Amino acid sequence: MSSIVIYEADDLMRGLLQEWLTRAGYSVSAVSPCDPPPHVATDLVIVNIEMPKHAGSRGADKIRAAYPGTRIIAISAQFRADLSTVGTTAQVLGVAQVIAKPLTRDALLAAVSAIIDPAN
Amino acid sequence: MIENSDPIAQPAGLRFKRLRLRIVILGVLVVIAFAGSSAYDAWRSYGSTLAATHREIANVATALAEQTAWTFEGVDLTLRDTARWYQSDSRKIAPERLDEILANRSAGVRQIRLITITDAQGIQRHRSRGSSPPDLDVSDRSYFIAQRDRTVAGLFMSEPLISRSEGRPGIFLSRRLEDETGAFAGVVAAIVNLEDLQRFYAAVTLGGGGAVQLLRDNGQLLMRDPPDPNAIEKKFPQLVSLGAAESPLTNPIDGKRDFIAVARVRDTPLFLAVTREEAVALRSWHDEAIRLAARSAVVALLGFVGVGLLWRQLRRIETGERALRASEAQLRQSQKMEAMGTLAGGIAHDFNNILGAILGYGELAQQQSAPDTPMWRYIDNVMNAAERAKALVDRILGFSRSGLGERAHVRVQSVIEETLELIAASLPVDIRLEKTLIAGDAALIGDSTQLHQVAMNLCTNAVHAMEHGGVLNVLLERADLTEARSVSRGILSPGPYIRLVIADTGVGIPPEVVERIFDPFFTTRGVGKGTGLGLSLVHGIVSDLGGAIDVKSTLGEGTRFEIWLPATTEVAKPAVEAVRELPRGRGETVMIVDDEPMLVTLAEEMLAGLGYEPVGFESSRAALQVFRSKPERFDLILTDEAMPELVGTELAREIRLLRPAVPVILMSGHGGAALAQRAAAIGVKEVLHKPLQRADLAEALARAVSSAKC
Repeated sequence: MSSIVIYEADDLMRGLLQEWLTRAGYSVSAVSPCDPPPHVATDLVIVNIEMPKHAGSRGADKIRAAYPGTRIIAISAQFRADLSTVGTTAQVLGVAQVIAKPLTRDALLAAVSAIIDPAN
Repeated sequence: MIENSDPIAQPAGLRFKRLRLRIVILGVLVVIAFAGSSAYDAWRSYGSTLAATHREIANVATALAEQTAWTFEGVDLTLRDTARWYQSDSRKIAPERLDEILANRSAGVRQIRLITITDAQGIQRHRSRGSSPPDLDVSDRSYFIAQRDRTVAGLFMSEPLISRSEGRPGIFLSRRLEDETGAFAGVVAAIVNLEDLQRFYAAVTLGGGGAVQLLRDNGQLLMRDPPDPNAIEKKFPQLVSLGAAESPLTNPIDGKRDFIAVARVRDTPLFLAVTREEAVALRSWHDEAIRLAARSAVVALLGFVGVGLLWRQLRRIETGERALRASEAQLRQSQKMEAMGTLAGGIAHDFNNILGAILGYGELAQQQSAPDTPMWRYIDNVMNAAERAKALVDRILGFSRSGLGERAHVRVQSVIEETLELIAASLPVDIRLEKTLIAGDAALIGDSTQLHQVAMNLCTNAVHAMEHGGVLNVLLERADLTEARSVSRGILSPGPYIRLVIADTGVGIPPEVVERIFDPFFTTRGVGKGTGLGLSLVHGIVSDLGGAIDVKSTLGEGTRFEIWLPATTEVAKPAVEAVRELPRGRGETVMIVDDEPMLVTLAEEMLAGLGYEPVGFESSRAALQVFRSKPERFDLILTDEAMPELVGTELAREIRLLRPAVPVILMSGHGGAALAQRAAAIGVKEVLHKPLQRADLAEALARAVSSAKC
């Protein structure tokens, strides 16, 4: 079972993401950025980035440092809806994919699936 | 128009205008006063010169007339004395000595050229100079007849006559001789020496242009200095009728404009006229007048130059102040927009989280409820409302500039062309689209979707402004700025730009509205007809791209938006794919539909490279026909949206009617929430944005294939 760590400040969103992914069969650890990071081996980190325009790649740096080599999906309420998931923004932030909030379950699961199990 | 509408700049403009007007009026008054003073001086000087000239020539005329009178008095005295002597003593003297005595008498009187004694029969008997023929008969001469017939009492003065004894012209003065009984005994006559008078007149300095004339009372000119042989003995009666003339007249003698003073020669029928040419007499005044005029002109010139310099300086100050105020206004506006953007960005952030929860939990809730139950419908409505809110928040993110979008190399002209194609398709019949797209391959670094939104919003607004028809004019060109330029919204640094001009011939925007058109949620359309976010979005996007907007609008004539976008000098690079392995296909057959043959080829190559089996179509109808014939042949459909025969969403609907399970991916150059909704409604899996990124395509295809398997 693939494991996923979620960093999300918003309680409702955190709960929702956890529920979606758990239902999809993943092992999920969902934490607030203020909480100490769960020291578990993980296949994927989903992190919410605030003010991505100003923060740039710094928003994901902390996660990259905590989980070296692990793929990251960045989500943000300040991504434009028409953003390409693997376009220049993803490159600038240094993550595998970006998804704009509010995101759909399908979009999230497709992104997760494409990273964890690209063969499917 | 923007300047006029500035409530702060307007009073300052008025103040400067008044100040400028006052300076001009003051300057003109000073110049007029100086010119008036100079003119008054010239007029006074002219009057003084006239008076002095009149006085001078009148005095000269009086003096010369008196001198002339003395001359003739001397001659008369000699004649009377000679007459007395001749009547009393001549019989005692031998006749041959009488000529000698006469010569002695005339020798003392310089002004007498000749004295003659004529007997009662008119035979000239004696003369002071004896060179004339003997017994000369002068009985027909006026000076003899007048004395003989007593037509005059005492002295008679003749008209100029040629002396028969000398053969020279002269004026004869005569007195009657009588015997003891008082009977006429002849005349004693003297020829006046006019040369002597002329020498005297010549001795009087009248200056250049001056002349002295001696005339008889009938106007006959007897003598003139300087001499004028053509005028001697001609008559100029108008001269003797003059007194001391007040102003220059045309002199009948020489035809020149002269000051003329005429004085009568006492006890004679003679007049003495002194003339002086006006041009000569007024020369000194004329020179002074020129000096005054030149001085006035110099002062006027200096005055006008001074006023002009002051005017220019004031204009500079005013322009500077206006620019400062405009800059302050722009700064205020920019700060306002930034503050609103920050606020809106914050709200959008929170709202997106809330909407995410609503949509996400709504979906979960919907999964837990049975379809077509009231609960299912309620949740569906909640989610529809949340979708609408999501679209709104995305627009707010657009103008707030806090949202993060793509930053890719965008060839502007292709985006504008595509936008205009869409606009043209929905344009009312009474609106004509005129486009000049000459930007070539000029590009910027940004998001093609956002650029599309800019053009779409401005074109839509322009169309709305022309309810009764008109012309929608679109210009796209390169523009290089060599110096900084301030426009309505923003300041442009020097450099290469892409200028998009969208102008309409509609109703125009009132100045007070122009100030607010970029404010979020400000709309002049009715409630529910406009969100008021269109131009805010345009402003946000253009500002985010580092550009600026210039707006000009005239009521009743139309509005013109100029969008300045900084052009990139970078050469377009193929997008760098994320450093990871892309999902690959396993030989699935993919139908590719695009009316652009090159794009079909490109997509075919990309798909083949990703392990798919592409089949390309350049016609949507042809593609549908092939699908109808073999619906099971294709595992996936990849279609463009904008196509002439059958648009992508229509094709998708037809295909899904034939085979609902086949996944469809839509491609679009501009996207947008409306298209996304429409696509989702007919079961399209994803909407990809053109230009296609290989990674995006690979991911989308993998997701679509994966979902088809589920």
